[in-house]
Amino acid sequence: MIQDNLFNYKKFVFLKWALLLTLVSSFAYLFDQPRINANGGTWLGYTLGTIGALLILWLMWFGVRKRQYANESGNLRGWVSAHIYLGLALSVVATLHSGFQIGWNIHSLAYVLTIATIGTGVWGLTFYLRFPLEMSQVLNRQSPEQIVAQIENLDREATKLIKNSGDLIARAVASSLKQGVFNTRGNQCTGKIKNCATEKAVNTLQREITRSDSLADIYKNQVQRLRALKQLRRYYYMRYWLELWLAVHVPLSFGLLAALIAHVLSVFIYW
Amino acid sequence: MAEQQQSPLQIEQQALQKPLGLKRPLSWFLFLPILFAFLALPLAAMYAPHLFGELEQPANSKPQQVDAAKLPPNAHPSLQSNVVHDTRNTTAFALDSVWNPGQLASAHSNLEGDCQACHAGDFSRVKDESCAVCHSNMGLHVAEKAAPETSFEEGRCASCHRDHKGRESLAEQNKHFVGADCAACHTDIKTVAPKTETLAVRDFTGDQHPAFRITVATGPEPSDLRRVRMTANTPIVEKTNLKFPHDVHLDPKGIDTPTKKVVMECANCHEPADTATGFKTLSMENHCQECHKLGFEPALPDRQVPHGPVDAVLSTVEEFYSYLALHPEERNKVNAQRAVLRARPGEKDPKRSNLRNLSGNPRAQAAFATVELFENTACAVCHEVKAVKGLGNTKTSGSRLPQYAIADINPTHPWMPMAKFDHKPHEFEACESCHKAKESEKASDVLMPAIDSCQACHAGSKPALNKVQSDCGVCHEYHIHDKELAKK
Repeated sequence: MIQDNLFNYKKFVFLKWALLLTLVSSFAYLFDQPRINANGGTWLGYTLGTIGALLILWLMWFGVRKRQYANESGNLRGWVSAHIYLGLALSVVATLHSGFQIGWNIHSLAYVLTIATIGTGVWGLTFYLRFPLEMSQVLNRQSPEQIVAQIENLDREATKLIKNSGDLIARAVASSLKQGVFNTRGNQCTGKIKNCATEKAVNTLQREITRSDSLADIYKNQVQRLRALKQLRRYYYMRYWLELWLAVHVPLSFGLLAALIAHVLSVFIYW
Repeated sequence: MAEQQQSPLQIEQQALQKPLGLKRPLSWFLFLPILFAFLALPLAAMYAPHLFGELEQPANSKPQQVDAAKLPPNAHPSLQSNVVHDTRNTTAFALDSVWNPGQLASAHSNLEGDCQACHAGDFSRVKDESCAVCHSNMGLHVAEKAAPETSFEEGRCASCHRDHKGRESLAEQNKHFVGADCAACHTDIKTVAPKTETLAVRDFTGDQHPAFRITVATGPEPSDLRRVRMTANTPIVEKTNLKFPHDVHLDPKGIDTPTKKVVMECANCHEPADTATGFKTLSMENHCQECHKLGFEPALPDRQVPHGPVDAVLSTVEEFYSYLALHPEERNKVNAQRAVLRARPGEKDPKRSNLRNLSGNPRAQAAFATVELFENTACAVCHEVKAVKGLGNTKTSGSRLPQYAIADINPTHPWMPMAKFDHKPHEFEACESCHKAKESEKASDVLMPAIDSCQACHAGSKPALNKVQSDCGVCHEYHIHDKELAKK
């Protein structure tokens, strides 16, 4: 690839920083010999905890930064790249800070939320790797509104075409015209629907077209309608997941922020 | 609006085009409850307990003084002060226990719902005063007058005693702190504490640890105890005022007893017990008298004086011969027995040849028996006996007999009172492998092994083949709990 993407931004500069942070933290952890056991309260524990807390605040600041269109501190692709790599590095820093101890308390809650947030980030990244390109391809340089308008044109044409058709065809096409993108909002999860009336109409027409050549136009019309619907379904399916993972990732990060505040304050209130 | 009627498809598309709008509400949904449950509630419980219907601390919130008599006899010195009877009230509904990072040590586990028993809750670290509420008797590391220039002033209890690390006891846990941390000061102890008598020590191995210091008695009082450092080839000698040859008693061929020959073992006299020395105190009655009888009349070997004060002994002797003088039939029995024991012609046993029939002055008989008893047959065998001129205790019947003074025996005491040595784990070793009792001719020999004897099995802080890795805490205690010792 010639152009920088999220991963190789500036020759993997943030990957290098993240690896450096991970390695330095890990070696410090390996060579540190705390008297009793490794935990957040040793000098290394406090250091890793501070780094982790600052990382969390900076990673969350990305949510603000991406909305600041006028802000020119670095470009947004650089920010995303850094967000990904340093976010992954945070999982190492936070784990070492915990000293591999876990329990039923606020400290472990903060840790679990950290890891959950990072996990959903990785999950979301899998969508970001595949969907944006496919979304532009599936719409084929059209906007969803244009496709809707195209369907409506097809529908007006179909209404005329079925005036002289037999009962069977007329009914199939009439119900096809009522078929929307999805039957329920839930269909968006899969991007597919059962009992698509347009698909049925296409199937019916395919069977009938062998008997009557006059059905060629309406068949072509319905095939185009189905293709347009499928474009929209695929598009909104991808759009749905691109939004949904964020609707998990972001609230988890705010839960983490609350747990982090309680964690840090409680540790020092009862030092 | 003047827009034309929208088709259902347009409406659906516009609906799909809208963002999900879940991020913001879900974020609040997670942020607020977590902050409330894990920060606001505990804080409220700490600072406004009345909100939860909690009353002020009840009267028994303060630790109660426990009568020393109610403590077990071997209670750790640090405990012999305040013992908390009851857990104080917890924070309201123990709401702050969500902050508890881990289990408390077993001895503190009753405080698990009561963070403020130790934590002030004002961003300050756990203070020593909190610990001292219960551990008021905890000894310092060095005697106070030796301390001023050391770095110990900065150390808090919690610098070493870190709780919330599980049920393992803090004392056990703190073995992790000895070793390198001790050596940090003790390698060059004179720099840290110029006046100290302690020698530099880096580790236990080789010559990195000085020879042991043995606490020996110079007199019968506890204040007569002195610490003397061992040197390689000169054994330490301690004045005991006792005559006891270990070598004679431990003769592998056995020694004569009234009934048979017996090969004695260390444990015949030294019985392990939970005392300061680790052994039961020896007594004449239980350990010696079976062989060393205190008879004074050769004809009646089972008639003995008490092993007690000189005047009691003399009274027994005086009263015995006076009684015989007043009761001729008893005297005749004794004389008959004496005749049996008397030396036959050709025999040259001086003791026997001295035996004559008792007649005449009973006091002279008593005086003769007294001299024999004190100077030859009994007392002087083990004790330093000195003849004294003049009358004895005039309130007793033996006051006119020859008088003697018996030197006080220096009481037994641990030779290494600061060392954590337990014979129990060493019981698989023969006594002789450390204590050369079979070669000891005098009771004054201090039969303590030198450091190389320990080093045969104990390595220093670094592991060594066939040796027990031993850091400082294996033998040494950090705190000096004994107030008397701490003063020295």
